[in-house]
Amino acid sequence: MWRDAVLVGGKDLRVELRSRVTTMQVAPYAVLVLLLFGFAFDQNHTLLTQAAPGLFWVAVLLCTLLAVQRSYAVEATDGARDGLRLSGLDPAGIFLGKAAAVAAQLIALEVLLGAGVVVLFGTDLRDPVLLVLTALTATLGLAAAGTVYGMMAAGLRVRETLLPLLVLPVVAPVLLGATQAWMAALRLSTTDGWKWLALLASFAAIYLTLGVLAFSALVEDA
Amino acid sequence: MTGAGTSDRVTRVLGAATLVAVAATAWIGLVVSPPDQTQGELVRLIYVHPAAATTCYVGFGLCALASLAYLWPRTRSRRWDSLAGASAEIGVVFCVITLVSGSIWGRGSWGVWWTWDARLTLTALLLAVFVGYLGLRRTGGDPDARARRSAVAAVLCVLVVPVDHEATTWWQTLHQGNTLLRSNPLIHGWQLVGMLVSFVAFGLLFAWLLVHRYRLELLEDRFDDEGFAAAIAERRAEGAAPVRQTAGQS
Amino acid sequence: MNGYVAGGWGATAAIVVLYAWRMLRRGRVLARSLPKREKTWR
Repeated sequence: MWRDAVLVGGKDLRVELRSRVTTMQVAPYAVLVLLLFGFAFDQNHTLLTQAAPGLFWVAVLLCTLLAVQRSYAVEATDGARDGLRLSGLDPAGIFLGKAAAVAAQLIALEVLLGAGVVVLFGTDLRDPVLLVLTALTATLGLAAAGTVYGMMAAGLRVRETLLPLLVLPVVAPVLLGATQAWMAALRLSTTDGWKWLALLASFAAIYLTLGVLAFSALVEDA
Repeated sequence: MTGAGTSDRVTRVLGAATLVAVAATAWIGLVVSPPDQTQGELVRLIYVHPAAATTCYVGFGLCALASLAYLWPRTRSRRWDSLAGASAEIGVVFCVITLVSGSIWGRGSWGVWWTWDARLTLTALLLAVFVGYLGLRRTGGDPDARARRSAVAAVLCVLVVPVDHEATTWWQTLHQGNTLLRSNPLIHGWQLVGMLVSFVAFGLLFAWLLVHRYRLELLEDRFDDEGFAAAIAERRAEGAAPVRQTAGQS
Repeated sequence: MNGYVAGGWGATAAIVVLYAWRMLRRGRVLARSLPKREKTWR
């Protein structure tokens, strides 16, 4: 399982590195979203600083949708999906590999977005341990949930519109937890950030487990 | 009984029982039971809202159970998939009723239609998740692949239900805690009777809707399979028949 | 009777009746358009 995961994940990342869709299209899109938030709240700079964690995670959510769609669009051409299905790779391995590749891209995007938030919104970074741990756990949960639902929608004619409808409500707890934990880390609120980190960790654990268990049923699909 | 659609004796008996139970709920809830000491007349909404919410959970829970039965190789049957779809759709209807009636109660009691409270937010999420599930069901393609995909989605979606149910105990919420499911219920007398009758009424209503919806789902499946062929056969028959007769039919 | 109570009960009844009516009608239309055979659910 783990060997297959490394194989699939490495393949996805290599495809991304060579096609440069993430760096040339998704990353500029993410920055654009931040800029749009800036325009929308232009008159009110304190509001922008206050809302920065929420805006950051909304931007990450939008990027997750793109990354997941991209992850399956790669398989759609030239019958690559059939190749993957017939390859004899462990479905759980395929799931973990794809989720890891999505997570790796998201983390790269989050670094960029984080820099954007600091530069554009004037946020002061505090408590880096909580910030980084939150980002890693939340990303894991987003990638796992996105990969499961992405596989469900892959190959359908309506996947572009269906995927957001499926994924956004499911990952809403991640948005909530990650935003709350970051608010706490940045001293924008007095809640206990570590409790929210625990929520994020259980979300990620649940979706990783379910993905490993359910992916074989989904890979069988035509 | 041609032309009767999805009805037969079972649904008629169920329907009659539902009407009686609903009438009893309305009579107890709106006439017999006294206004509450703290809530006044507004309390009459507890004969609608909790029962609707519970029915919604039952609908989604049944959907997940049927989906598990479909995924289990030894019980795999398209019937389970149809039951899951029917049950989820009715669950969505009751989820909407829960949100609407709760919102109206909130406006009267709290003064706002909506508040960002864990229970409310999770119920709205539950609705969104199952609307997504219904969207996934409507994608077409190979029926067995669609059924397997939907079944996995249903099992994932239903995870929101226990979280939503426990929300009032896990978080500090504005929403009331659970009233009935405790050793010493918080309400008594006609209120308790009314609430229990309302649960019976909504349960019967759910069963009646479910039987109809399940049969409709099977009809839709058959229509997908042979409806097109039947329509062509009909057109052929029309073409073969004398013109005078077709004019008379329309 | 309180307006909120009437609204809540009324909205509930309206949603159920509308849904059930549409469902029954669709069932009738489908049952009529399909070749007459024994009921599918048996």
